[in-house]
Amino acid sequence: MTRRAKMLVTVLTGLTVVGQSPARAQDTNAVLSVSLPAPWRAPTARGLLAKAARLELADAPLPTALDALMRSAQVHVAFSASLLPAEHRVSCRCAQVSVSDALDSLLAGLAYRWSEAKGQIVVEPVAAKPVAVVPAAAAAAAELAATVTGVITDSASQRPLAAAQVSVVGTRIGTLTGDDGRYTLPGVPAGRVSISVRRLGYAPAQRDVQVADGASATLDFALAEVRRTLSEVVVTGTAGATTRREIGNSISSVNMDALANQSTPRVDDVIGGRVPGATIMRNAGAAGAGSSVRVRGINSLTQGNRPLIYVDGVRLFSEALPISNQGQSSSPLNDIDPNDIDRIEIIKGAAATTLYGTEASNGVLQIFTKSGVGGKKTVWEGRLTQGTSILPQIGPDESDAFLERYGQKAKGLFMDAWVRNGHNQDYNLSVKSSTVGPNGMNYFLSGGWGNEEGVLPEQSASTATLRGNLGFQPTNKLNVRFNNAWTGRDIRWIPGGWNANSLTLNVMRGPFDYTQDRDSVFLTQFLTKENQNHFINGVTLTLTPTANLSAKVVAGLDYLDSDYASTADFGSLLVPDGSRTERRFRNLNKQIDLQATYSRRFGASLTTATSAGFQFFDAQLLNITGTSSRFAGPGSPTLNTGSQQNVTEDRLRVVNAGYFLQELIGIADRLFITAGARIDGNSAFGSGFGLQTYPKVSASYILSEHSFWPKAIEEAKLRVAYGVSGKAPGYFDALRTWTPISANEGSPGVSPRTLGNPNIGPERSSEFEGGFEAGALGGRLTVDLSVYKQRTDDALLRVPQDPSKGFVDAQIQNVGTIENRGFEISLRGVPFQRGQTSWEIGMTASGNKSKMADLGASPNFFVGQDLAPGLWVKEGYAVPGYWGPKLQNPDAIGAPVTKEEYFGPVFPTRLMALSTTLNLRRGLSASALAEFQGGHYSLSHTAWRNVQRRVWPPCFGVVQKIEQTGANSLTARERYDCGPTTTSYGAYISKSDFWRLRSVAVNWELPRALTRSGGVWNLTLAGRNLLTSTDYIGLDPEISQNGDGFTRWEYYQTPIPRSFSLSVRTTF
Amino acid sequence: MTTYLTPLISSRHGRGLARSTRVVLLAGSVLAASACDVTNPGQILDENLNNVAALPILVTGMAGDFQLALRDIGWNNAVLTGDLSGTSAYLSRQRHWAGHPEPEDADEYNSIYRARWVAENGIERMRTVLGSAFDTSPLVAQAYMWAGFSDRLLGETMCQAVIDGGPALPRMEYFQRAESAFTNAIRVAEAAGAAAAATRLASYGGRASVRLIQGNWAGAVSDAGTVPTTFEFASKFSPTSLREQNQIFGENRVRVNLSAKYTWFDAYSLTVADPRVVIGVDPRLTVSADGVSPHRIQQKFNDLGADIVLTRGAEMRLIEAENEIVNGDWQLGLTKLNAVRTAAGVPARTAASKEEALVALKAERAVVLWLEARRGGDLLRWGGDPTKDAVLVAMTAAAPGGLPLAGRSICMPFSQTLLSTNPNLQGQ
Repeated sequence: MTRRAKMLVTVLTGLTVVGQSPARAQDTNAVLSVSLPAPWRAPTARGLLAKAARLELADAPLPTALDALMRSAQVHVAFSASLLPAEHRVSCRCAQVSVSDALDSLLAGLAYRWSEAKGQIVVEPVAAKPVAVVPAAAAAAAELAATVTGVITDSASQRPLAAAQVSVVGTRIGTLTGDDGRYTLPGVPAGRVSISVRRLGYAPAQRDVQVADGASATLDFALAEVRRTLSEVVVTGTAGATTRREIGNSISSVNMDALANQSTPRVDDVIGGRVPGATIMRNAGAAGAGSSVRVRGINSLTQGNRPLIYVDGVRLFSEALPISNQGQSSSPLNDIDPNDIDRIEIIKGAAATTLYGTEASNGVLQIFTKSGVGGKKTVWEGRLTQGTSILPQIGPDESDAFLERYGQKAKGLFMDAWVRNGHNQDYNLSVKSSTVGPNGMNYFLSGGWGNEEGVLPEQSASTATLRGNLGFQPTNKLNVRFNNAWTGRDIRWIPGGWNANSLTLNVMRGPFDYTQDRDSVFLTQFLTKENQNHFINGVTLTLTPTANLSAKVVAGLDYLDSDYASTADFGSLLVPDGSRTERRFRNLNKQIDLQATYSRRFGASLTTATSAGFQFFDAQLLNITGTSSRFAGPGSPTLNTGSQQNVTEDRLRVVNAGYFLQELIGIADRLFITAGARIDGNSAFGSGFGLQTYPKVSASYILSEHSFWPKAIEEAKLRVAYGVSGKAPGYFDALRTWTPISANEGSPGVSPRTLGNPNIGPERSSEFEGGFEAGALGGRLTVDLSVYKQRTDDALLRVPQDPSKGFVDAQIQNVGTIENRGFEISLRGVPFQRGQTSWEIGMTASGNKSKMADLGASPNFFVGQDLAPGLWVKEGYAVPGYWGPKLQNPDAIGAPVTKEEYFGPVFPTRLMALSTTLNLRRGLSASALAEFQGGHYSLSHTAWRNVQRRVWPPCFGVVQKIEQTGANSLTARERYDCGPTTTSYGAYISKSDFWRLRSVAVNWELPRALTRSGGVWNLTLAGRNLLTSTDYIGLDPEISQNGDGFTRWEYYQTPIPRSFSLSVRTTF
Repeated sequence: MTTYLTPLISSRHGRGLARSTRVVLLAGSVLAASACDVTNPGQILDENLNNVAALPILVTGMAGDFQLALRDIGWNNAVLTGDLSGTSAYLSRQRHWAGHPEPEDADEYNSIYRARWVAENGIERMRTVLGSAFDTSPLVAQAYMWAGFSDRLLGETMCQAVIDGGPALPRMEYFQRAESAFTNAIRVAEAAGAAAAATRLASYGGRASVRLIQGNWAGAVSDAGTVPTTFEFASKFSPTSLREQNQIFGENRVRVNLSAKYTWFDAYSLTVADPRVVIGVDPRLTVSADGVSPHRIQQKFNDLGADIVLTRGAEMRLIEAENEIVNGDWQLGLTKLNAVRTAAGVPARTAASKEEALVALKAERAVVLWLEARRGGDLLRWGGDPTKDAVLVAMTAAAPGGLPLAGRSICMPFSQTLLSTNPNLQGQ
């Protein structure tokens, strides 16, 4: 066939990975275009017309396109093939559109109209003879001689817009723009003509141009984006792809396209400040250290609080890796290269996560990577980044007297001489392409390498990534997609944080440390390396046997391996005989998700979608740690080198199997009610515990459908949702066990481990959520508000046991109740927009109040350690909270009188982020994001312990007073704050509020004249963490020992450095 | 003419789908319930210990749990009783050093409760498993012995007793239980014969020590007499795993958190070349972790695997000496005392009176039992007054700025966990 139609149809509506992963990995941004305007477009889509559709068509016959639309949206479209122009060919890159929008585009320029009747959509002619579109090539054959060319761009980002529909008004001449946004209209009649441009998601534009016979004219357009947020299709937390208008719970999404010109080197950088209710805390400035991620507060004391992470439907190991001797660990979340990401969806609480079942009560974060749906052309993209990290000052400023005492080396808490400017580099190359048709294929291939030098010597992290996403359609009812990725990471840790062999601890304590100022031993006598490999593999089969029925199967495998080795040399200062620790950590997740959705319509105003699914999830964890000491001599050791060897092995498996049912009912296209339940079994449940049922119900109501609603506010939705989710107990919590030990110099023995609890079950989090979403002024103003109240019943607490009864370890019991309540606000506005110049501002804000509502049988309990005081879980207070001795007699001369009092929560209770983007002419744009976290407290051990050693600069005046005149004349405040023997940790529990300028980026898209290749070139100068405003008393309000733990305290961690980068990005 | 296509799904198809859905859900329930039967390796179920083959590891576990308790208590208690100084930033050690440990500090002592329970619970398990062989089993003798040493360690460190979640009892309860356990250990060990010889001697030594605390001089001397001067029985430590490591060495030598500086023993080591109390310095690590205290290193334990003696012939000879000083011929007692010193290769002590002989005896016991978590027992039976204890008087006077002596505690309160979990202890 010379004009063989090429078509790629991706049919995803109504599909959800059973229970755990209602994923639709193929989603991309909405891009839709065909020829000529559509005169019959319904003003507001509703009912079947509002259903979600997903099409990828290129030059397909119109009847074929309508058939694809039926399968995609699971609606029946009735039309007469004989009345359609069979030769009319259309293209449609419609990733997230409604049926109405799709028809708008497919039938644009044709004298057809469509309406909903009797449970189907009817397409019929409105004129006796439809006006056929003449493809540009055909028009070129005509005898008219003028040509109009130009470029269509986004007025905000100035990025070229592909697949925009350009036509000459009043004629049949039209065409589509290419990936570079360019168009050519040949055969334009001489004289003054009007050129019209339309593209989904943008306001249409029309301008006149004067052309002469045989001449050419250039006419560029910058289209203004018009957001229709309620038409956006989302998949996370729903049974199948669903438009926002149908969803009763809050869902946040981050589109990476919008961040292409900003600095987001890691996934947690992408989320931070952009998702209300999500708290991202950088735990340290060390290269390779992961962040803490919390969504809507803390709802578990014992089972972790990280959200589940999915990538293209495959569930990742979502916890942080084991801790390093730098007091930090890396996060699997950052194993995904942001360059490979298309978008991220986040659902935040039990009201939304019910279908994910056990383990999902902390929210679900789903990452969708790119696919090869960029059109017929092969698109390459390359990015090169060079940058540096700078740590200008550690700790408070020193007085002259302090420097006089300890010398210039005391600057920056004695760290100045140790800090360096780290060199950061990153390279990424990707290619994507697609061929269309029944046997068409699409692919996205990507590879990258980057290296981040820490600001401390020898410390670094390098990361290599490979990704291959492949999709094909063996039949027109089956779509197959493979997503495969590998991430390799090499981290060189140096001893740091809370560790006697810590460089930072020993240096910052000046002469009063464990090494007596021989601190270089931590670089020369200790070597710690971690090598990680992370494979994420998934295959998704999408079957659409009929327009009403769809099914999906996802098989996923997530394999994470970490090889950690730490060696203290033979003859080293603190470990003279040498020692080595070797840890192999491996986690393998296997999953199979099955899901089917059946959609029906009853009468004119009632629609239903029935979904069911099953999921099997199997997690196997292996952690083998070998230690070896007493080396026979110097050299490069292995575990065999030491005469004393020991090994521990944890080999743990958890299986979760469950299924769900869900019914979505739409009434009059205004009210959407969803009800469902998930039923789970889990291998960690006690023997006396059966299956768990998690119900959910939600509703959304479209206010803007009413005639009384002000037209200036085009979209408005009220929503309310209630749902239950859970979290399983630990591997051995149900069993009474003894643990093997070594005793009597190597003989085997046993010791009591867990008391066991045969009635143990999951924590159950129930959440009520309400919200309001609206869009106004052509999408230039959008608002999304949510309030929620969450209650975790049967919270698993470590109920301390009477040690005189033998089992010292606490028993895990379902006895507690934790409450979280809060609000979330997301605002976006475009206060100025003219031509290529626009100014966009955004704000996210959230508040969270957590409370330990009931401790059941458990008393208030301490969650710190001997070296980490002040951390408690107490009934009626935040989870966890800081408590400590507060000074009662600050002005008295004499000993401090203190009283144990509550300071505040450990985790932030208030978050806010302000963002702005300024688009100027000539390809210039600038953006910035500032973030506030507040309402929480941290204990600066660095300050407190340096006070005890007389080397905390702000206290040096008191130290001098004591040396000169003794302590008798000191006030209680001076003694409490600065007395080396009288200070209290209460003095260093400090409010940790901070504003931080997270990112600033200036981007310049090079003029075409400067680029010979014809591609699009961008230069981006970016900075991160440039400014911080805080009254926090210690090193940095954001850092914490132990990485992503349940508690937080600062203990000689590396502060967050400033970083600068220059990137070159090209697309061709 | 417009043609409308018929819906693609017929009602027949719908009924078939409904049936299929029911089948899928039924299968889902079965799978969800059955697919989750997983047993993880690595831990031993309680019922698996109820057989003869498991008893050796059960008894080794008793030794291990006692050793862990001694590890946890040893370095803390050394600071409370003045064996070492708490020259670190550890809050708990600071309170120990000041003589005012809090209940939360006592949580580090909880492992000794477990050790006692493991031994006593294990004895009952063994009684069931062994049947008639119970009374002649060397393993049973060991179990009784570990119960005895656990009770003794509890009595020598804790201010009050509590047994299996019961009410608070006088501290002496532990010594009574220890004596009973040692008595059973001796009985079974003697029945077991040569295989339990060391257990028998260690139990005699243990019983002698607890009889001494209870004022049973005759019994103590009688038991002591069965233990040869050269005999030693120790809790085994090892550098192999963290729980087996000698924490006194770790905190004094590796992490410089405890110093021998300011102690009576430091002064003694500077005047007497006694191999039992050797204190030195590492020229590379001369300042303790508090940043100001000179770091002095005990050299009784010179590696992480250094064992801690639980009973020895020298202690028995001192019991005999003390009995003479207190109840008989004080000069003979002094002679017996000096025999111990002579055996250690150090000069004899002198005394001009019974009182001076007793002072010498107390000092000698301090030297022999240094860093073995035993001084609490001596402080108890000598009246519990810290102002009359030469070791504490010297240490509190030498500490920077001085430490208060009056009101100083010589034992540990109930732990925070005990207080919060045992309703019988409310209000303590």
